[in-house]
Amino acid sequence: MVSRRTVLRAAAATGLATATGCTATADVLGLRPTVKVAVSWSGRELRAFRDVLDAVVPDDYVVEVIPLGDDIASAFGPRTPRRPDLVMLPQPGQVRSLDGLEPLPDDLVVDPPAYAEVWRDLIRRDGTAYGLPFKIAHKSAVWYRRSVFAEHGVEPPATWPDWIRLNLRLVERGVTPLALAAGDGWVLTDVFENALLGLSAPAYRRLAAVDPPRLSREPAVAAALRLTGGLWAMPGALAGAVDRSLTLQFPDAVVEVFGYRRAAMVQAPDFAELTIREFAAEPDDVAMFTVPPVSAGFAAPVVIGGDVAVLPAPAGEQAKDLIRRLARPDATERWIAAGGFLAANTLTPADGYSPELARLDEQLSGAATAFDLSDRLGALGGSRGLQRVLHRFLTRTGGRGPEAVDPAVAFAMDELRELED
Amino acid sequence: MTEQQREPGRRGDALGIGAIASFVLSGLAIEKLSQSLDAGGWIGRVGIGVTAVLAVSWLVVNAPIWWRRLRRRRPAVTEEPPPDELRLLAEQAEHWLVALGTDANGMAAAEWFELHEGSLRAMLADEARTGGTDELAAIADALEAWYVRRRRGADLLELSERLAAVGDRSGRRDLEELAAVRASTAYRLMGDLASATSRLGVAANVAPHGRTSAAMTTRRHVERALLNLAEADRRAPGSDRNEAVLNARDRLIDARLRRPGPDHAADLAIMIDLGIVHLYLQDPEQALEHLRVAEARADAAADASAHAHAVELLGIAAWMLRNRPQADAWWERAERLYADVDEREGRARCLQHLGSAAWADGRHRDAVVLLERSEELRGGTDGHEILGHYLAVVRGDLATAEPPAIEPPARLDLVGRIRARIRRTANRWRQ
Amino acid sequence: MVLSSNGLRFEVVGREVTGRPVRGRPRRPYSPYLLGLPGLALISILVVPIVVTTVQAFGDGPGNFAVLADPDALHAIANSLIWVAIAIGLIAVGFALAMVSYRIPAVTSILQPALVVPFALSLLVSGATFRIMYDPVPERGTLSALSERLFGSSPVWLGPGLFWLVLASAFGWIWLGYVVSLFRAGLDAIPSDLIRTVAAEGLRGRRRFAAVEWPILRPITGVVTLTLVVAAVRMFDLILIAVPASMHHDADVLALHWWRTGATAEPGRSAALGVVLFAAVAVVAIVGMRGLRRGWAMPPVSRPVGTPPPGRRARRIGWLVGFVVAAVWALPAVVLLATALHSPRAAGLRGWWSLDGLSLDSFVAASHAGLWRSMSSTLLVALVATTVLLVVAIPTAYLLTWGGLPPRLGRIALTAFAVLAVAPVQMYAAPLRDAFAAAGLAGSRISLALVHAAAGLPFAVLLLRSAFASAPPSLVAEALQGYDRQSAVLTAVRHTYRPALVAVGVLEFVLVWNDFIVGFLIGGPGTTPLSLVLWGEARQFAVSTGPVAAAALVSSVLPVALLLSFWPTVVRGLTQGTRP
Repeated sequence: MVSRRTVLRAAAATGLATATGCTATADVLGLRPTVKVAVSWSGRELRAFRDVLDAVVPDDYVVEVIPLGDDIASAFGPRTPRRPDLVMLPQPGQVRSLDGLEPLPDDLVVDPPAYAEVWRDLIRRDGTAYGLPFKIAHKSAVWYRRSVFAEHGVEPPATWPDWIRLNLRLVERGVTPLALAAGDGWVLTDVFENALLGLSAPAYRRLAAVDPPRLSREPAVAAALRLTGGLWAMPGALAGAVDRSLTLQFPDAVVEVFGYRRAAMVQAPDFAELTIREFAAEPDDVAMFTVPPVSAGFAAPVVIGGDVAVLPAPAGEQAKDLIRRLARPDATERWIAAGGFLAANTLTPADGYSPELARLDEQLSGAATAFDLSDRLGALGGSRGLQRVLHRFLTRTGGRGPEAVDPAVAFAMDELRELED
Repeated sequence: MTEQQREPGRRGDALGIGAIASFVLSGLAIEKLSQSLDAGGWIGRVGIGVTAVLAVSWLVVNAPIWWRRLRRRRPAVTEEPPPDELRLLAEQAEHWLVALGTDANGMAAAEWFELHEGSLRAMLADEARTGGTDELAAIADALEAWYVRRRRGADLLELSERLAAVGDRSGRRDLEELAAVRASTAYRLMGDLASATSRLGVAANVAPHGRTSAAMTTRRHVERALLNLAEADRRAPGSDRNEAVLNARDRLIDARLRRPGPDHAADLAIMIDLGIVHLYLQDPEQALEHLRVAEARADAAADASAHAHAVELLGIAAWMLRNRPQADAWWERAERLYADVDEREGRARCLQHLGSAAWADGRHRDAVVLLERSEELRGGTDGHEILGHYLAVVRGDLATAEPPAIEPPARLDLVGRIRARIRRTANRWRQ
Repeated sequence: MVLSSNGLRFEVVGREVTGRPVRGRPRRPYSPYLLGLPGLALISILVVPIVVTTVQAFGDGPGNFAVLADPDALHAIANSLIWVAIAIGLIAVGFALAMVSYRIPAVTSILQPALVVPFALSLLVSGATFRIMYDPVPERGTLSALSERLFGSSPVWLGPGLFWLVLASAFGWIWLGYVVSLFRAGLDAIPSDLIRTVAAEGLRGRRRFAAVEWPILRPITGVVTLTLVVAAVRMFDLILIAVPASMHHDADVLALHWWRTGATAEPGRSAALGVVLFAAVAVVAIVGMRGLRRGWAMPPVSRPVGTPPPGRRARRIGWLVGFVVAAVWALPAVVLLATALHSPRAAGLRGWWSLDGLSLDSFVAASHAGLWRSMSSTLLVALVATTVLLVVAIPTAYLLTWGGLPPRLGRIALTAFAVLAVAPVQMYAAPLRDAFAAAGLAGSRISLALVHAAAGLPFAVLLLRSAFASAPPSLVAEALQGYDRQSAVLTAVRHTYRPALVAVGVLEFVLVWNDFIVGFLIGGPGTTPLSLVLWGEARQFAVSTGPVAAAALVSSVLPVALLLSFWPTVVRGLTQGTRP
C-alpha cells in the first residue's frame, strides 16, 4: 500500500522532471544526437572552449564536454568507461602512437600554409593525417611585473647566467624573484625542458626519437638538471619556499606574482594570460620575456605544446562535422578575445592577439622550436616518472644553496635510471 | 473498514511497475543507440511513448481509488450508515478477535468477551436492521471464535442461525454459507453428527463464487475431516474406524491444497488436525512432525491458542512414545499457555492429562489435586466422561482399576530427547 | 474424542478454523519466491562482477597478491589504517557530544541542525570547503589568515603532513552529525521509568553510564562503527579534491591506489587489491553485525521525562559546548556561501570575509561550466535509482521478513546482504565497466542508475526488513492471516515502517546525488553527474574557488533540503530495526 504510494510519488516527481523544459529533458534523455568531446582543460580554459563551441555548433546535435584533466589518456584506454566522439589531445606527440583513430575527413587540409611545417610529421602516420592541430602553447615564456624591474633597475635577461644574476640581485634587495607552481608536475618538466633544449637541441631531439627513452644515458640531462637546480637552489628565490610551492598550482603561481605581488616573475605558458588578465592587481603592470639562451651564441629555446583534435574510430557524421567547424580559421575568435589562446591555424587572423601573445606567435615561426619532450616519453614523462623525479629534485635543491645541487642531480639521475629499468 | 476491504487495494500496480520498467528499458535502448552511429531515435520515442501510456493508464486506473479515498474523508451520504454504536462495537469485536489468541492480550480479550457477549448478541438479534451487514458479520466472526474456544455448541448454533438470517436479509450468500458451516460445527460439538453432516451439505450447495470461496472450501474440508474423526471416535477400533480416520486425513490434505494464500489460522488448524489423525493412527512419530511445525509457526506468529493446542498434542505424542517426563513437561507448558489466553477448557484438558498421568505414575495425591482443579475449571464432570472416570479412580471409588504397567521408554525416544536438547540449545542461542 | 495409549485415555479435540474468512486464491508454493526475483536480478548486477573479480584475483594462484609487497601499496594500506583510526576517534567524539546533549537537553536544539546539514553534502563538497578554509595563502585561507594574525606566520596547511588535518576535519564535518544523531536516538529510547529508577537509586556519573546508557548504546555503536569504518576504508574522492596533486602520493589510500594502478596493472593484480579491500571491510561488517545480533531492538522513542535537571554549572558548560560546536560546525557552510557570493576574481584573490567583489558572477561562471545539464542528468540518475530501489527492495524485504522462507535460507540471504552492503565499488567496477562497454552502454545513465540501485539494495533490504520485523508480533500474526488483514494491519503499523521507507528513499537519493566514485569508475568522468563538474572545475582549485563554491552550493541545495525536512524520520528509520 505504502509501496504504491511511494512509487507514485517517485513517478510523479519523474513526470514533473519530464515536464520541465522540453529541450533540456530531451537532451538529458538522449533524444538528440550527442557528440562527446573529451578535453583536458578546466576552469577558465574550459569555459572559453565552451564559448567557442557555442559559436560553432549547429542546432541539430548537442555537444557534451567531458573534462578529463590529466587523465585524458583514459579516453583511449582499452578499458575506457566511455568513448568520446572527439578528443582534444594535449599531447600531440602521441597521435602517431595511438591506435583506433579515424583519419581526418579528406576535405580537411592540414598542410602549410594553414598549418606550420612542424605539425606535418607529428600528426601523420603512414602519410595519413589523424589529428587536427587546434591550439598551440608556447611554453618558454616568463611573465613579470614591469614595475619591479623598473624599480630595481634591471632588464629582462639576455642569457641564462644573466637570469641567475637578476634573481640574485632581486633577492639581495628583498624581492622574491620567482613563483613556482610545483603542484602541477608539467610546470616542472617545462622548466627542465627549456633548460635541456637551450643546452643541446640535438640531445633533445635524440631523446624524443629513441624508444624506449633513456634519459639517464644522456649527459645533457644532468647538465640541464644542474641548470634548473641553479635556478631553484638560490635561498629566497621561490615565493613561499618549497613547502608552499608544492601546494601551488599553475594559476596560483601566476596569482602570487600578479595578484599578491609576492614575487617578480613566473615562468608560464602563453595561456597564463587568461589568469593574469583576471587576477592582476594592476592590469598594466604586466610584461613578458622569453626564456633566454643558456649563453651567448646559443639559440633561445622555444618549447611548444598544443592540443590536437582526434577522432576515435569509428567516427560519426556529427563528430566529423564538428571537427570541420573547429578547423575554420575564425572558429576560435571568442577564445582569442578572452586571451591566452594561440591558434594552430596560421590563417587565423592575428590581430586579436594581445601584444605579448603576438610576440610569442611570431617566435613560433622561428626554427628553434621543439615539441614538449615529456609528452613523448610515454609513462616516463608522466606523473609517476619524470614529474615525480623533478618533485623530489625540487625538495632536495629548493632554497638550499648551490652546494645542494650536485648531490641532488646525482640522486635524480639514479632515480631516472631506476625508472628506466 | 468495510469499504476499505471491498475496494481493490492494489489495482493496476503492474501498470505502474510496467511504466518504470519500460522507462528503464527504453532509456537503456536510447543510450545504446546514441552510441552507435546511426541513432535510431524513433525507438527511443516509441519507448518513451509506451512509458507515458502505461503511466497515464496507471493514473487513470487508480484515479477512482484516490477519488474514493478523498470522498471518504467527507461524510458518506449514499447508503444508510450503520449506527455508530454498531460500528464501534464491530470495530472493537474485530480488535479483540485479533487479540483473542495472542499471549499478550488474550486475557484482556477474554474479559472483554465475557463482558460484551450480551450486547453483541443483541446486535445480531435485531431483525429490523437493514444496513451494517459487514459490521454484523464482523461481530459474528468474533463471537464464533469466542464460542468455539469455549466449546459452547448451543450458543454457536444460535449464532449461526442469526447470521443466516442476516445473510438472507441482505442477499449475501457467502454469509449463508458461513452460517451453515458454523451450524455444522455447532451440531458436531453437541454430538449430533447427522445434522452436522447435512448442514455441511447445505453449505456446499449455497457456496457462491467469490473472493472468500477458497477459504470457505478449506473450512468445509476441515469441518468434514473433524466430522470424520468424530465418527471414527464412535466406532470400535478396527477397519471401519481406520477408514474414517484415513478419510479425515484425505480431507485435510484437500484443505491444505485449497487453502488461500497466507491463511494462517487454517494452516495451523490443518497441521494440528493432521497431528491428531496420526495420533489416531498410532503413529506418534509422524504426528510429531506435523505438531512440531505447527508449534513453531504458532509461536512465531504469537498465536498462543494454537500454540497451546499443538503443545498439548505434543504431550500426547510424547506419552505415546513412552516419554513420560517429556509428556508432563509439554502438558504443563500447554496449561500455562492456555492460561495466558484464558482458555479454561484447554487448561482443564491439560490438567486432566497431567492428573491421569500422575495416577499412572503412582502419585495419587498429585493426581487428586490435578484432577480436582480440572473439575473445578469445568464446573463439574458433566459431559466429561474421562475426567469423571479418573476422578472416581483416584478417589478410590473404583478400587478395581490398577495403574497400567508402563514400559520403559523405547529406544526411539532417545533420538527424541536428543532432538529436544538440540532444539532447546538452538532456542537459547536464538534468544 | 477419546484417544487411548499406554494404558491411559485422553480427551482430544480437533481444531476448527475460526475468525473472518480469508480472501485470496490457493497458495502456489513458489509464489513467495517470485517476490525475490526482482531482488535477485538486481543484486546480480553486483554479485556477478564480484565473483568475476575474485576469480581474476585468484586466477593464477596467489601470485597476484604479491602486489601487496609493493612499497606504494604498503604505504596506501598504512594510510587506510590511519583513516580507520580517525573514524574511531570521530565515533568517540560523537559519543561524548551525544552524552552532553542528552544530559543537557537544551543543547540539542542548537546542535542538531548544525550537525545534520553537512551529512547531506558530498565528501567532494566538504573537501572543497575545507580546502578553501585551509588555503595556505593568508589572503584567502581562513586558518592561514588567522594564524598569520595571531602568530605572525602560518604553517602550510595543505603541505606535507598537515594535509591530514584538512582531510580529517572534512571527514569529521560530514559524519559527526550522523554519529551524534544515532547515539542521541539511542539515548532517547531509554524508557522513562528506567530513568526514574536510576534516579531513585541515586546512580550517577560513571556508574549510571555503565548501568544504563552503555548497554543500550552498544548495538548502535555497532551500526555507527560499521558505517564509519567502511566509509574510512572506501575513502577516495575526498583526497582527490582536498589534497593538492603534488601531495597525492603522500595521501594515497588503498582505494586510490587501486584506481591509479588499475590503468596500467594487469587485471589480476588490481583485482587482488580489490579483494584485499573487500576482505578488510567484510571483517568490519561481520564484527559490526555481531553487535547488531545482540539486538538492535529499540523501544518506541520516548522523551526522557524523569531526567534529573542538571546543575546550573553543568547547564552552562553544556550550553557553551553546544554553542561552540554549533558555531564551529556552521562555519564551513558560511565559508562556502560567502565564497560563492564573491565574483570569481574576488574569491580567487581574497578570503570569504572580504567585502569587496560581492556578486553573483561565480554562479554565472558555474552555470557556464555545464552545471544545469549535469544537474538534470544527476537528477535523472538519482530518481531512477531511488524508484527502482524502492520497487525492488520492498518485495525482497517482505520476502525475507514474512515470506516464510526456510530459516536457514533466510539467514544465509541476510548474511549475504550484510556482506554485500559493504562491498567496495572496486570489487565490481572493472568488470561492470567492461561489460557495459561491450554492450555499447558505456556511460549510459540508466545503467549507472541500475548499478546505484543494486549497490543500495543490500542496505535498503536490511533496513526495511528490520522495520518490518519490528512490528508488534500480534499484528504480524494478523498480517499473516491473509491479504485483507494485511492491508488493514499494514495501515495500522504504517507508522512503524514508514520511517524506514522514507529513510531508504531519502538516503538513496542523497547518496546517488552526491556520488562520485561509482559514476567515476563505472561511467567515466563523462557521465557528468554533478560531482564530476565540480571535479572538472576544481582542477585549478584556488583560482576557481568562486565557481567551485557556487557549484558546490547549488548542488547541495536539494540534498540538504531533502535531508533536513526528513531527518527525524530518517533517524527513526535507521534506529528502529530489530535484528539483522
